Amino acid sequence: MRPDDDGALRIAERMDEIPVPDGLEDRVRADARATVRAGAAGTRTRRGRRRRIAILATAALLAGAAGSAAGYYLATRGDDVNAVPAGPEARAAISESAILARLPWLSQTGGSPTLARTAAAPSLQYPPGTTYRVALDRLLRSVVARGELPHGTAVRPALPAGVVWAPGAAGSGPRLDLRAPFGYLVQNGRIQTPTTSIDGSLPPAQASAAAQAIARLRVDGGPLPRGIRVDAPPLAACQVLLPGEHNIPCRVALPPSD
Amino acid sequence: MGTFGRRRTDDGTDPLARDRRLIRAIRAGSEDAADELVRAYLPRSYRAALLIVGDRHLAEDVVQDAFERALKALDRYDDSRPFAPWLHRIVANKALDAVRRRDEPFEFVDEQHGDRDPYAIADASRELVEAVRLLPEDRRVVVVLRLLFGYTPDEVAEMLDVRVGTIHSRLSRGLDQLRDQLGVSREA
Repeated sequence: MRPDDDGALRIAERMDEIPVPDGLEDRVRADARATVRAGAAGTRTRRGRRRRIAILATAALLAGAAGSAAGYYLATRGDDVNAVPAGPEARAAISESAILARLPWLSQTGGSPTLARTAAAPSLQYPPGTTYRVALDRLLRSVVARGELPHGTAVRPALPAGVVWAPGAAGSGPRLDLRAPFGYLVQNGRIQTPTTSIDGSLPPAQASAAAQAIARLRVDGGPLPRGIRVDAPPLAACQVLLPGEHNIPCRVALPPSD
Repeated sequence: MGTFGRRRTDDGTDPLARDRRLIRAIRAGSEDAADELVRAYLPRSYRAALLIVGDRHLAEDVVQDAFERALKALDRYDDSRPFAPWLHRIVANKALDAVRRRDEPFEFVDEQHGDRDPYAIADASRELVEAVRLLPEDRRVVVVLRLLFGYTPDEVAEMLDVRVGTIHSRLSRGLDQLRDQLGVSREA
């Protein structure tokens, strides 16, 4: 095709003069090398994923063998596509959901994004009396099992920026921020993924069974097993909006790499 | 084929043969080939991302994500076809996703974030990036694919899965607006 005109050509030349930031090429090259080294490039992707699942299963067995010690870290972080152990059908439902598909705590392919770089999301209103821990438990179990928001909840407008949990006045159901329901780090705004623990009161055999069931979830699908507890992270005061009060924004700093 | 329509690569080599060789090597596990592919395509991919998202830091994220996505999806790439449009489509889509996901500035404390420069680039480029940023999103992408990469309207239409008439319209309006913003005449 003929060039549009000399003016457009001049603009095109200016586009090509935009400098590339120092260090960017080195970072992308390092990432590319790591991707190839990890066997994740091209046809090797699936093998790499299976290896991660195998590692997870091994970790689960070890955790189970350790008896009922609580604190088994479940959720994958950073380098996996899905930050929750949902099976194929639930993942498909998530990807088709107008709300869930965009939530940054469900899929973190390049590390945890910051609040500043993610879109605000609606809040989820629960029945009156629901605690933060129960709200998270219901949310994660519903997402893992069905790829849906939990039954008995209602989608509401977004909470003020930075608010994770709004207990609500008497008779009014509490609301949970869907952008960062599991919180974010106050020091840098990075959105947290869910974590779970094995119930410390379980006997070793049941703990081991629960850990093995968790390890199979991504492949087989199904609900989070009983005996697995959804962790509720501690929230800073600025992340909670008490009834009738104005939220004081958290003093969030960007990470040094930004 | 005119100036914009020519296939341009960042390092001036024959892109088709080079890319086919590199992709086969990457599939065989060559890190050096991945390195070479990044060197060949990174500069213009970054410029495209920056022009679409209008923020240097976000553009860096976009281009890193795009290369990672491309490398991981190489098994779905048909190497009988040119690699560049496939990669550039990933870059454009990643950039558009980033624009759509970006929120209004979060309520951070001014003293910590007030001096953050969204461009952090030379002044000469800043004016251009700002002018492109003012274009509507759909025109912005078309203008970038046409001017920076040299794709024809037919090729842009195929990449974006949009009718070619629509591409012509977006390109014409986008260029008019850009000329006005930058004070550039058709004759320049």
